[in-house]
Amino acid sequence: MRFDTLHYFVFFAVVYVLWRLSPRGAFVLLIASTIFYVAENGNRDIAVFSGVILFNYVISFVVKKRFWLLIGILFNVIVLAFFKYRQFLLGDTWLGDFTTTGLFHNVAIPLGISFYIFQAIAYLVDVKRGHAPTVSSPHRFALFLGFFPQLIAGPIMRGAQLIPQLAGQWRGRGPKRRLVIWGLVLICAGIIKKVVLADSLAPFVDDIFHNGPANALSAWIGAGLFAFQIYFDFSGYSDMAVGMAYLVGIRLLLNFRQPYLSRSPREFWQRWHITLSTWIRDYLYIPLGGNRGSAPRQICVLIGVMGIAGLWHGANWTFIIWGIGWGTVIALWRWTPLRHLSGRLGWLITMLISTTLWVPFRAPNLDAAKSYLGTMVGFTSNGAVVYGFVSLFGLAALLGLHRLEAMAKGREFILFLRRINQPLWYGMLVGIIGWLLVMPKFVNAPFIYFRF
Amino acid sequence: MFLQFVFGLLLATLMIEAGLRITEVGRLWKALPIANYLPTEPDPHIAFAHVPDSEGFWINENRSLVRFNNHGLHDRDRTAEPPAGMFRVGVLGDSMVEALQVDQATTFTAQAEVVLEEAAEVINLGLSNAHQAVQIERWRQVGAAMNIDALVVVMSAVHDEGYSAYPIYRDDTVLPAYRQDDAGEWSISTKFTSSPDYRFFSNRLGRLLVVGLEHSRVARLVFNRWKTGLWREWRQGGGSNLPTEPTCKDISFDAQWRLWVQEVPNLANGRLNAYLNDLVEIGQTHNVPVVLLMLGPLYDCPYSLIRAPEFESAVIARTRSYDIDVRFAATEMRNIKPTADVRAFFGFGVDIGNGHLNTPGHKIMSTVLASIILTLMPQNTQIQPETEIEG
Repeated sequence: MRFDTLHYFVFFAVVYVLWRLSPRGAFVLLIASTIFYVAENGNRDIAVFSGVILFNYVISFVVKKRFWLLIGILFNVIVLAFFKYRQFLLGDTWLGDFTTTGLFHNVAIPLGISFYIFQAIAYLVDVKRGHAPTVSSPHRFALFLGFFPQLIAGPIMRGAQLIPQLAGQWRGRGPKRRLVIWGLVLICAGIIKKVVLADSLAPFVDDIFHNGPANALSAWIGAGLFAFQIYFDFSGYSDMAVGMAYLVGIRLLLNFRQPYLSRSPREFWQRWHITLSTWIRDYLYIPLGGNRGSAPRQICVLIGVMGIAGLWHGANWTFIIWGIGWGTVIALWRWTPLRHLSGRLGWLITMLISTTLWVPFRAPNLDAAKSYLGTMVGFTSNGAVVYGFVSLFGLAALLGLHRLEAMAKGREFILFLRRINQPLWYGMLVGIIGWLLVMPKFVNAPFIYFRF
Repeated sequence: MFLQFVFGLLLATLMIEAGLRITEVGRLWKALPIANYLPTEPDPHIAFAHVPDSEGFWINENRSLVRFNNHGLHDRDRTAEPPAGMFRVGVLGDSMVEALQVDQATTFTAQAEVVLEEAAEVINLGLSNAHQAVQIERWRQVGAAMNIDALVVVMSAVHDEGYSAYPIYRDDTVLPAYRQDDAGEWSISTKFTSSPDYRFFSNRLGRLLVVGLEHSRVARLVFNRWKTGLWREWRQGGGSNLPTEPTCKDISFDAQWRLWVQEVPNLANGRLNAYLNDLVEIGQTHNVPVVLLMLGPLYDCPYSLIRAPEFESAVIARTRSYDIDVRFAATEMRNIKPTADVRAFFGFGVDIGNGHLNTPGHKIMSTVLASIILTLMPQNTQIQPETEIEG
């Protein structure tokens, strides 16, 4: 179920009321999570997810032995690779043909697989390392892996962060006091970001990437619009997920910290899709050597790991190029005089880098990405879409909103919310959420990260 | 506490009302969410007509600010009598002609006047969802009183019954529709006047709702949601990751072939004959030449393009028996711009190729229309239509 729909709003309202009334809220959350996943997914998706839950639950008891940890990781990687990458990896080979025809023809990517597989791998590794407790019963493990606010598009949670919170709820000892208004503010902000901002930007971005920019200015504006579209879309979803989880007594990790205020590429990845970047750091980058070894080795690991981060987003060379691009830029920043850049200049260059790198991410294929990038640097274009200087004001306004958002998540804001934590404000926020969901959507724009 | 909560809901409603009004300011409506509404009122001829001298936003397919003239047409204001000596052409048709997706000056009817250097008035009589029976009633509603010298009827594939995609042309409880009586005679039924929707909007409560819609953006939100379905997203389901198989099946051509050449299905064929008879009657009663301009099929696939001459010959032969001239827009477009993909004249943004005429489409269509009008105008008219097409 998409979060920006009226029926999900009703679903969550019912879940919230039942959760408040139930002595053991975790049962309500488990049933809600099951309904959530079953409601709009086919039998195949459910079978795959159930299989992943069962396998990881069982193997978690023996994962202290390295051999079984490797088996566990391998299983999860093979499942993800099969559903998401088999055609890309196997291509026209006989194995590629076999896995895309007959019984396997039109096997779609199960919803949320990229996220729950990564969460499962993190859990197994953390259990091995002793950083996370083993979940004792299958239904509790199912809730850990399938907790509905974060199931489809994250945040990717660690066992140490989520399991103790859920355990408290299984024992009937959920958090007594919550700042309800904070949860509602997050949900409201998320819906505004998605419905008002991201969905409004979508037609312009789709147009320019489909029909091509006519000149360099239009190309930069189009890329900038996409930068904000994907930010509002994904962070909007994340805000909603965190807000909803908060209301039912679970604190999820924040996934974004105003990434377009970053002053270096490294800082960008400390602010963008934080749970994915920390996952990459803890389970790929550091085990492969991290900051140890010679500079060439570190650079190779960095670029390779970022390439994998790109591949995680989808089976297309454009995503890999995007990831490698970021790895290269981070390496350049670390080992060249660029590392001395800071302040406004550092911000500007980071902004230009991220805008440029969004082009291969958004483009449907490498040729389209090359053509678009060529237009950005002033080569001739056959594109038709023109965005004028007026659009720059729009971009500036979006950047201003971004800055405002940074202020709105500060301590002073939380203190202000504590003062107004009253039914009047609840009604206002619920009303705004409801009206925004009532708006009929003439553009079918699912959350971008649902596709991964 | 409950009262506080309810008051909060009311405040939220007011904020949304204010917000939706702000998004209509300047050019914000081109991007931000708006509560679109096009003022309409019940009409005994065509079920529902646009309110004269009104305006609203259209946000499907492309965003435009739509203004309806003093006759409720998507056209500039017109007097009942044309200026002295002015040749006046009426253009009947459906949403392809009404063209709510673009502003009035961009419509091909408006551009045809420019192409003709204002030697003729071209009146946009188009109406969305206007299939054949509705077009005839549209003429009776407004066209007949406009002192028109010639009539061009644009027939698009969707509503010509051959396509059979929409059942509304058979359902006289929604719009006027051709019905066959026991003796086998066809006539237009206006049974919609007894339908609950029509009666509701004709009575006091319906008029009150319309007043609410005209003045409240929140009311429009609710109304639009009710029209599209409260649980619309639930019924639509999630997006699919499945690949789509590329095909080239010219559904429009196949249906048109069956109707015009093979004269099947029988009922659709009967409606078509009744429609052509009514066009003839219009021409005779008002002493105006009638030209049928077929906007589809577009001959999208190689197999339909090859059979286009045969198809057009059959259509010409059939319409000649009714003494109606017929022209084929797709063929005329290809004559004007031989290298163009005719499909590219339809659709907006990522949907180029599907949908209504876009800006280049209206431009080329205006040249097609102007060339037709030239043949209808008095022989001493000296005009050279512009044939340079952009893009």
